[in-house]
Amino acid sequence: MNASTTNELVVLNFLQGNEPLQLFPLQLFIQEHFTVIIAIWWTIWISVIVFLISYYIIFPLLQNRYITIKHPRNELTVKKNN
Amino acid sequence: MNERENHSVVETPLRNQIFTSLWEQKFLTLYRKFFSISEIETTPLLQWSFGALLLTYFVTFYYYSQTGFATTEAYLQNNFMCWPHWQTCGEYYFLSNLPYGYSQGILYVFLFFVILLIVGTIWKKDWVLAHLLLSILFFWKFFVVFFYTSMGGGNFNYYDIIFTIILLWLPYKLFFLKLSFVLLYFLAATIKIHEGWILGTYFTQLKTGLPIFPDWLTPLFTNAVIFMQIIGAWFLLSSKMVLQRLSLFYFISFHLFSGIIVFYRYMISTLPLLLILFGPRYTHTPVPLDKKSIIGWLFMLLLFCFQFIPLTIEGDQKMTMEGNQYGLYMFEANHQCITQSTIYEKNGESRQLYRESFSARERCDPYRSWFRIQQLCKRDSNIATITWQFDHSINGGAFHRIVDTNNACALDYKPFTHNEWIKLPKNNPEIIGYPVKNVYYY
Repeated sequence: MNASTTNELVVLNFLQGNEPLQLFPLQLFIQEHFTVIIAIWWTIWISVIVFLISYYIIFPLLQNRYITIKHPRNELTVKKNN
Repeated sequence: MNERENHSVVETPLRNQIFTSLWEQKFLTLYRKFFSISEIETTPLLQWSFGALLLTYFVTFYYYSQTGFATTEAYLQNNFMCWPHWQTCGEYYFLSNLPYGYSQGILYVFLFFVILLIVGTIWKKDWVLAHLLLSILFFWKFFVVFFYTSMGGGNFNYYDIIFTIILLWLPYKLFFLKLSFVLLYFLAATIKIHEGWILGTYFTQLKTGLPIFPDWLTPLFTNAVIFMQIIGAWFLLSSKMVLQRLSLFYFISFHLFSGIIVFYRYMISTLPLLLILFGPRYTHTPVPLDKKSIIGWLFMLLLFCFQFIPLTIEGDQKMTMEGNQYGLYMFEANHQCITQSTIYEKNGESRQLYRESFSARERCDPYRSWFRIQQLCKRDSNIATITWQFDHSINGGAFHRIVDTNNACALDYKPFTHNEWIKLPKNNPEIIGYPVKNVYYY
């Protein structure tokens, strides 16, 4: 069978009588821009995780570290005691 | 016994009435502290989650108890399937189910009794004993799902196992339960960034299409699901109640809608916990960032790592199925396949084996066909060689002959890297033809 020219239907036994898939106009439109859409979804996915990790984990940890360096524990304790 | 003595008996935890020796009580005290069980004792949402997870174990074992896919007989009849990371699992099967024996029945009756005991310990509010007993159920299920057989899986089991690990052993249980629930939506989106969901061909390639929605609306629906799983799901954790409630409403609707296709099983693992963790009694939980929380964050990282195993293997895992089951894989592609092989015996005779897939949800994994062929090669010394062709179509695309070999017995299968004998587009696999619309059923 020639790989590039065959359009033969392969019908599994339990699918006898079914039609082949035909794309709707919206699907054809999306298909034209498929690679761009894939890239957009992955960009959004990565952006979301980078934002969440930065905003909720990295920045608060850095902030805590900054506060700890600026106000070491004994300093804070002394202030509190005073 | 006077009133004061009576009162003290009521207050004594059940475990201290059963385990009376000093070292037993010391062990239980350490156990309670080590696994942060006080969090369960003081948080009603965790207690409800405990009950919801217990229900999933009942449903799982109800199913397992009636099957024979991990029994000695399954191994003897070559009707079993091991994971790629433990391909000799069948040699260790030791249970028998009816009509061959009672051992599997005895095991699952024992596990049912454990479930009853857990209900009793919950009623007595002894969460340490409940925790210990749920661990027994967990270890058996974990072993069966990830090691003993690859036929006891299903992403709903992954959900149960992940949530149980958090509830039983991690600190900041409530926070990490909520986070993992949302994270699983987010990770599930990675398998949907693919033709089947972006074009919506997973569903339009079904004879029955998407439930309720017309076919022409399918791509809007499927892309909306991707959007909600990547972005909308995070609002379940929001402190802004309007956004949180909108997100909750969407995901309740989503699970009820998907229940039309997947029925009760997936809903049982998700909806009760969704309602418990994010429902009427939801309150915003702050992000823990102390040393105690590190183990929880590492576990979240582990979930990412497993999800990315299939994506790191060369080729399209929806077509090759390599690494597919190591992450979430629900509705990854609409599959059709044909596997055919000819067995040539040493005496010159030959016979043919032919099998077609039966439903869009059958994963059409070349590994499964390879595994069965390998068993034949190992067990029958009369076999000289086996030729094998495997044709696979996804989402209504062409049938590609991704395996075509004259000696399947000589092939090895590597679980975490690409197997060269599975053809990728760069190898120009032969196009056999095109499929007709598929059906989806169990």
